[in-house]
Amino acid sequence: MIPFCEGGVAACMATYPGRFGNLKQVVASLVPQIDQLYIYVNETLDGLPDLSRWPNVTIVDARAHEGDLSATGKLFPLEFISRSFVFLVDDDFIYPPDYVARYRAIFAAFDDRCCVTTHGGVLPPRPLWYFDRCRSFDAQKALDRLHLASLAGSGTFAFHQDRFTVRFADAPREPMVDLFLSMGAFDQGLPIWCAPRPERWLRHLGGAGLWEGYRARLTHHTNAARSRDWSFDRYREIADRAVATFDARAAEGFAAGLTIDSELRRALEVGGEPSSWRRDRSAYRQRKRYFDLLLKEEGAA
Amino acid sequence: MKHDAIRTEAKTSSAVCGSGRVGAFALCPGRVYELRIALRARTGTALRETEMGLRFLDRHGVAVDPDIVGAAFTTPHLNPLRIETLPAAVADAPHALDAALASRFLIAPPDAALAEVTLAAPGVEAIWFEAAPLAINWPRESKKMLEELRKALDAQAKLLARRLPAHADDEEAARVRAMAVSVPIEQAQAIARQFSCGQGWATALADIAEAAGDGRGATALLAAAQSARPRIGFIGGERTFRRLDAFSDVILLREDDWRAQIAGLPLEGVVIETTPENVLGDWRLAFGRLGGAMDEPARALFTEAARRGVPVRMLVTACETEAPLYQEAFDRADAVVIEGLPAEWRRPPDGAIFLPRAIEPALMSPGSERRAERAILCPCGSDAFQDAAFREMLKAISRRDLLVTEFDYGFVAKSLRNLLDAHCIAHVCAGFGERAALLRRTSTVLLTGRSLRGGGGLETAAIDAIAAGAIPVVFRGPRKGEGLLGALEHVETAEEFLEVERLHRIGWVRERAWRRLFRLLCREHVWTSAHRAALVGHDPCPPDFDAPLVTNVIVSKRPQNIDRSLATFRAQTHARSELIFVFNSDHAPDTLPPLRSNEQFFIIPENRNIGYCLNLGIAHANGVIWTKMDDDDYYSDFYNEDLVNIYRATQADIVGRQSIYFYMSGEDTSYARSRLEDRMMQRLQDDWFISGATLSGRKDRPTPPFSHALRNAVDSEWVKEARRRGLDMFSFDATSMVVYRDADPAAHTWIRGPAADPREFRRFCAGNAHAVFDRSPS
Repeated sequence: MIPFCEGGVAACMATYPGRFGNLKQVVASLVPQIDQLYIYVNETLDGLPDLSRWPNVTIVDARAHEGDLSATGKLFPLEFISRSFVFLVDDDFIYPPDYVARYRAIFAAFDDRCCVTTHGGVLPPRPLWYFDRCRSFDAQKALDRLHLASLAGSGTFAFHQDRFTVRFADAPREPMVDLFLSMGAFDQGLPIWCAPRPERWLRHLGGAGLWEGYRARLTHHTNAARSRDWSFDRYREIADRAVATFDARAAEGFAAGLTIDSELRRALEVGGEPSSWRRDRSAYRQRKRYFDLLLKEEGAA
Repeated sequence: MKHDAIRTEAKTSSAVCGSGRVGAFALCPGRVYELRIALRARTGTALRETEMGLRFLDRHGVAVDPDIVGAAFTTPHLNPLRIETLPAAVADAPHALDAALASRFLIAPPDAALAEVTLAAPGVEAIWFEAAPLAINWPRESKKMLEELRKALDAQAKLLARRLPAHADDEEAARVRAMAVSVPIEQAQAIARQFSCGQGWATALADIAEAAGDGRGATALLAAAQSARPRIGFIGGERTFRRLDAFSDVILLREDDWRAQIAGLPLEGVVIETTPENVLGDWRLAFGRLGGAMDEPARALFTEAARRGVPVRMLVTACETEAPLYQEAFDRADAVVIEGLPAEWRRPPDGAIFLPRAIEPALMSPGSERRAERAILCPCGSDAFQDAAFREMLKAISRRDLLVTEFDYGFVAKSLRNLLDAHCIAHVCAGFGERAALLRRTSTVLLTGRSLRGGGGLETAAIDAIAAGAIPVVFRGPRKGEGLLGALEHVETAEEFLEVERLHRIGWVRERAWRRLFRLLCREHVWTSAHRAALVGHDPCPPDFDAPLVTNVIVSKRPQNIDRSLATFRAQTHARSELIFVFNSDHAPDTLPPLRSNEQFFIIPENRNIGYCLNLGIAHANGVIWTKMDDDDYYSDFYNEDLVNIYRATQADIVGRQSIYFYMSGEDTSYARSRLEDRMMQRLQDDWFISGATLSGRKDRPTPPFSHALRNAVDSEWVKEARRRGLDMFSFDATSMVVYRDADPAAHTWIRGPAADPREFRRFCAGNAHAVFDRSPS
């Protein structure tokens, strides 16, 4: 029986046996901060650590529901949550004790009309492939102010359901949760803010994940990313509205300690784009990698 | 007043424009963009190239000619764009076309707000178009960037070879395939060169101590023109001491000796500045202490001055938060004069008089020496200790072109070198003279808008920099729409700063930007008569000192140019201008347009030469400054105003300009004489001349008369004679005047031009360069 969560703070995670070893630590870092944690367990429950001491943790057995969904499993519990803050989390991060509080402060500053992430990135106007990036805001690295991203890391992603509608049923079956959420946020007119934080605020437990595998070949992510125009111009209106909301909320005392990237403000005022939305030198390394992959795949074919 | 920054950005950013035949994208001048274009022919089996058009538009939709940047700042292979084009034979698979995704680099020219890429070739379609702005620290990263770009292009070229049908690899296809790699590399290399370092500061610093006194000659001339300079006692900082010294005889009152000084020297007043100590290090915290009370000696000074009837004025250069420290001094002073804006104070002392933050331009003596090429100065180095972002900024641009120093606080160079890195050149300044000398040698001054220094420190730093001929750029901080600070370039990142700094390397861009800032400074940040009187009791300067009358002398024998000459004169922004038009012909025009009270018309028979006409005009001039204008050339509306400003700043006897830009009406094209481009903003050197159409002089200086005998070379002979007389001649700018050349060469005495002398002239732009120099990018 999967409990419902309404009007609270819920977290959703997908895991699989390869990550069971870390699960207790990860869960322990989250549960004091939330009302309900849903863990969608892919493959099997065999070897799953005992999490029963936390009454607000719900295990969802993939075999009894949609089967192995990989990372998309973290979206499955959304059907059981309403009018809540939703935190999508990963099974390989230790979340800091002020994780939810810090996110909630950001939501308050934008009247909940935004998505928040710690790990984010900015895609170039027309990416060659999924790993073509203007900038990555690495979850481990410090950030001193709110930065606008076009791509969110779903393991650090949060939103409020009154403002952002995400349904498991709409998610593509091939796992591409990051892109699915990021495109959804844009389509619903919501900015994705990278949260300001100190260095190593989140602690990554290491180990290879899906991401490393995706980088070694051309995947469906690339086709999806190439289907869109990611230029700053398309985000300008969203950002403009969000900054206006922030300023109004700040005047009411709801944005204490938060600052929006001054480059973004300037770009909105006078034109241009923040430097994080411009390609940097690493673009050429990624480009070579892309062509090498194409050459390799063609050679193999 | 609208600000005239050299860069403006359109309201839209660079954007993907789809796969149509035309792409357009917003630009930020000076920014580097990468164009990625994939073209495919509807027929054929071999790789080919296709020409595409690329044009730039300003924010009004007027074309911006990319040649205006000059050869050193040009990116090759852009006009026209030649783009590799896949044949129809290549499969339309998802990634199949990426092999021929062309890469091209460009830098947005000055004033450009939009770029348009057009494709007119029949049978070719654009299937990918992207214009992506880049954020690359070119001086630091270009080597690695070029390596990585080459590797990416090589990998792409391999893919392209594999994709194309083997039989289609003819000679032309091979050439195009090579072009796909070599052209973007060449372009990126050319861009990297434009961001490269200059000569650095080492040489410029070597003789800085000697250069520190260079501004004194100009202020001595200024003093000579004044009568009855008031003698005042002064306690305060060196900058204010020098400023007061420009219009009064200043006695530094010493803590040990002030009684004897006051007793022995009749003073008309005492000025005490709200600084922690005197120029010479005494009176430390004597006038301002926690609690607002003064020290006993300070109190005694007020008492003694009152007893002798010498008024004491407090000059507040500190910010309002420091004001309570000086409360007792304010209460006892005869006047409190605040340097700043009333809006900056919530509760100013009762009866306070506000003066603008100001500098005497002659003190900074712009152009008194050669400016170091590409020299960047950060005069607020202490901020690097407090602001991590600024520290990172300095690190990111730290190279031999950057000199970090500190103008306001005690400063240890070694600590800054430790904080930044080995490339940082840190220098400790000895005093105001050395600071001014450093600024005179600087091209770009980097300030931080997030500095904690109060008292309008940012504005003061900008004022001094501009007055010395440098251009300040502000890192972050609040951007104010109005005033001098609002007119400055603001940058958010090191890359953006480098973009601006590169734009400043283009001579005319730099000149136009500085002239606009200097004009603003002279309008709003130079003390005028009322201000001087408020500080020292009365104004010793002559009545028309702040706004001298300028007489424009035009000699013409072409009646068809009378209307145009009048329009040029009447457009002048300097309110105190008069015109003397000398019509040098036996055939007087039948009618004349109605003249205004400040316009005089003389008719002189043709047997008199131009020298005679000029002498007559000058003799009739009421202005202290006269300036010659040609009847057919193009002059800026600010021509007289800028002339007055530069006379004040340089105190030169003669000011002229270089005739660098020529508009050839027959071709509707402007040309530049590159050879002369490094002669602006300097004292005239021995073998240099100034354009005859721009000669000017002061009537109160011993300038020679023009020759009554010569028919040719009257102007150059006059310059030679002035040189023989040892007069101080200044070569100002080149963008305030554009020489007009009629399609008919017979219309001019001097017929050399691009056709006759192609090595001397380079094409500058389509149309009249006057429009470029007059364009307000804001």
